Amino acid sequence: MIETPGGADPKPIQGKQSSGSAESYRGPADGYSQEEYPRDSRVLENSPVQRDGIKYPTPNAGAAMSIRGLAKFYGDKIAVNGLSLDIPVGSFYGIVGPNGAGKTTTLNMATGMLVPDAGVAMVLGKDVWLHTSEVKRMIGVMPQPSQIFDRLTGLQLLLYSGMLRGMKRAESQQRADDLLLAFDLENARNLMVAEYSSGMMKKICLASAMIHSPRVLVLDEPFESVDPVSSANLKDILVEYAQTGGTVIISSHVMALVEKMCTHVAVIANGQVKADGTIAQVAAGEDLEDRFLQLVGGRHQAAHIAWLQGGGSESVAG
Amino acid sequence: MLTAILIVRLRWSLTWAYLRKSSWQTIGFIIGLIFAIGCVVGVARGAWEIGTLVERNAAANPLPIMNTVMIVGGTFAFLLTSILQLMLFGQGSTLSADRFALFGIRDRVLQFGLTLSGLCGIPGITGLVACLLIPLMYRSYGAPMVLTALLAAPFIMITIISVSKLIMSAATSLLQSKRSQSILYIMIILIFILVANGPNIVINSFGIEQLRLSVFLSVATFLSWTPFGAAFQLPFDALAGNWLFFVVRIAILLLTWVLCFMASTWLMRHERLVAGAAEKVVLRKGVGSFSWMPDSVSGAISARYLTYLLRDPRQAMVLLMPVIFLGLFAIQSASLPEMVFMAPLMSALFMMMPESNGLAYDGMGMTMHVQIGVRGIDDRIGRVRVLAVLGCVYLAVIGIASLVVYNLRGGQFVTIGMVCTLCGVGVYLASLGVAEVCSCMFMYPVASLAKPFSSPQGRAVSQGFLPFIPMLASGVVMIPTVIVVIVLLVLSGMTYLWIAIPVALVNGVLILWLGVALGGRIMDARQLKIVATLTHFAQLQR
Repeated sequence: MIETPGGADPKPIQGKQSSGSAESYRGPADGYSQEEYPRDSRVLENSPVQRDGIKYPTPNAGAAMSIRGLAKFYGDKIAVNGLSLDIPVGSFYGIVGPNGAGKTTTLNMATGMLVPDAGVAMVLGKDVWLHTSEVKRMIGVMPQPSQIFDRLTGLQLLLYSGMLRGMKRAESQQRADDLLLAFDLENARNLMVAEYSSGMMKKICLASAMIHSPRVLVLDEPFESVDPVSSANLKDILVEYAQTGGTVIISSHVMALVEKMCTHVAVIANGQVKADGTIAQVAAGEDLEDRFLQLVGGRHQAAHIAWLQGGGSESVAG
Repeated sequence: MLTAILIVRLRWSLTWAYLRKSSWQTIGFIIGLIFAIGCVVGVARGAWEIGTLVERNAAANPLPIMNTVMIVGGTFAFLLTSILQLMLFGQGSTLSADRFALFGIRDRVLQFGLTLSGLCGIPGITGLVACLLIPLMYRSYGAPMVLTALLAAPFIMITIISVSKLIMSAATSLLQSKRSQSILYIMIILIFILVANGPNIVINSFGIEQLRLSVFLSVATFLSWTPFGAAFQLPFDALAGNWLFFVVRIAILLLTWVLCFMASTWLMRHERLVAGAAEKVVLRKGVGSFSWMPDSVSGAISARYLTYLLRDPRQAMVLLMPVIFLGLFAIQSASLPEMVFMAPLMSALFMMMPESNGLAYDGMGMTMHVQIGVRGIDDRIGRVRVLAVLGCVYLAVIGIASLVVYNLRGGQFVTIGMVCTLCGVGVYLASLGVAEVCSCMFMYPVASLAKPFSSPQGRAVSQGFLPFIPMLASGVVMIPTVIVVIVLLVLSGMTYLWIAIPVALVNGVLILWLGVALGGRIMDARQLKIVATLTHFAQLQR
């Protein structure tokens, strides 16, 4: 197992465990470099590659995505705490963690959607914040259903998504037709997306991220609300995509899904990587879910709430 | 009752929470408060002055005029408030019935709580205080009239709130389909404009010399027996000693409250029962404008923008405004035919209002652009392509229609028509350029496309003044044309006024070009901030 930054038992700065407070920011170089970094380096420039006095370890230019010392603060709260990670090309990479662990924030910073307060993110050898537009054209980020133009029909949305990426109309339309077929949306091609069910909406969002055949696909909870049949079909498409050299990065809460589909996994908690590597490395011979619970902690004995009874006691009258 | 009071407390807790969360909301709240205080002070001062005037002219018996003005004016204000509530304030997004769906609160209790919270908001309190100050104008008529006017104040407010709530519930509950809501939204705007311009239309249609007090007296008598005017008549009944009429009118008002309450409660139940019912699915063939727009990034944006424009009732103003202006100015041009040429000019200025907040109307869809890395310039060109073509063609049609009306009215100076129309095109292009810059900087929340009658927090306040920034800026950037027009008028009268046409067009095209270039750059620089702002707006819309 590769223990990253600082492994499962990170050494705290200033004598505090990382618990999301501003003082516990771990800095950019944990686990990757011997170089010194300021202990309380909260004063950081907008562009993470132009920082005063903070030297970041060199990201892995050969990785699909390489992150070093990525950090994000919201007031006193640290959402992402000096996170470092390498995602190999051609991997099906799962990023897992409890709610509020920093998964979405990390992915947003690594895809040019959120300016980090510190750190470096590189996609296929390109610095995300120096070559933002170039990086965005290379990757496909699955939009959330609320982030699309849902007054277009399914076909129009895919066509739009392709043309926005500089594809010609005819090619976009051809690919849109293929995707609608592959995602079982053929019958809904002329229906306004706003009228789609949640699962259909997820599928059209995923399709819109794939139309330009990106080299890296970034998907936030892609299978949420998707029915088992469609889900199986989608998985096949994604696995085949990864097998042809594409990299899929998904964030998820569902351990079983990650264990079944992903080749690699990173467990994130409190804005840090607790463990990462191949599924086998991270699971370390145990069930992945049990290992996950060990790494992130937080399990406790079921509390007994005296008044919480399924039958017998009177409920509060309305 | 406890639940209702809890809802009122919840309303204020939410308001304070929003204020603590955002300094922008605090500024909006303070502006709203200043506006409310201004209204109250204005009513107090006006009522006092009228009271003094009445006192001085007691010999001329001003009572019938005062009575008529109060009832007709009160009814007018009543209707305007109700429509405005629907159009501008909408169904408060913080406290709507569906927010309480999980708690199993009885419909009657919930409806009562929501009505009470409506009365206890800043607009409700302002209205009540303003109504309580109206009796200042009756002070010379003695205690009974003043006291009954004080009593009438809560009657006025409760009736307005009850009717408004009913209209709102009906609009949101009965019209479930997006299409019917869109049609109603457009109709409401039309009615609002007609009501707001009512006095103008009446005076210009009939001629002021034909209007007699007796006509208004009859109208006032009729209105005093309706829920809209009854409360305003109460003090006059008391003064005249018509206690039977007084009681009957109170009964009318009470009955109105009860009926409104019952109907609103029924609508609440109806909405709950039909919520989620399948709407008739509309299939659209082909890809629409995507098939003929330029095969480029900006072409795709044009196609998407045009598609949205035709499906978005909130932006339908762009398409409706010129026709409305033509109608209004055609009516008002009875005495001065040249007045009709204000239509293309005013249309040019107002058509850009939605576009100056265009990104907010697009909503979170903009996130998709940022994820993909669409350049700001492509976005600006895409939007401008649609709006410039649409606007210029539309203004030309309105200009020709204005000329026809002008000729029918017996006008002879066709040059003025040409100048107004083509200068209007220049103004339109310039204001489009300004809008492309402003929409990246001065955004304010709008109702969501799914709920055009909803009102996100801060919408009313920011909508009150932010749209005037681009309008003002449009005026400023057209100063060169204005100077040329003034110089031409002073030096040659109408003879060389046509020179203003190329000047205005060049001025407009130049500002448009600058606006697109600058707007594109600003968009690139601010794209993440824009997405963050839109995300915040989307949260307010929930």
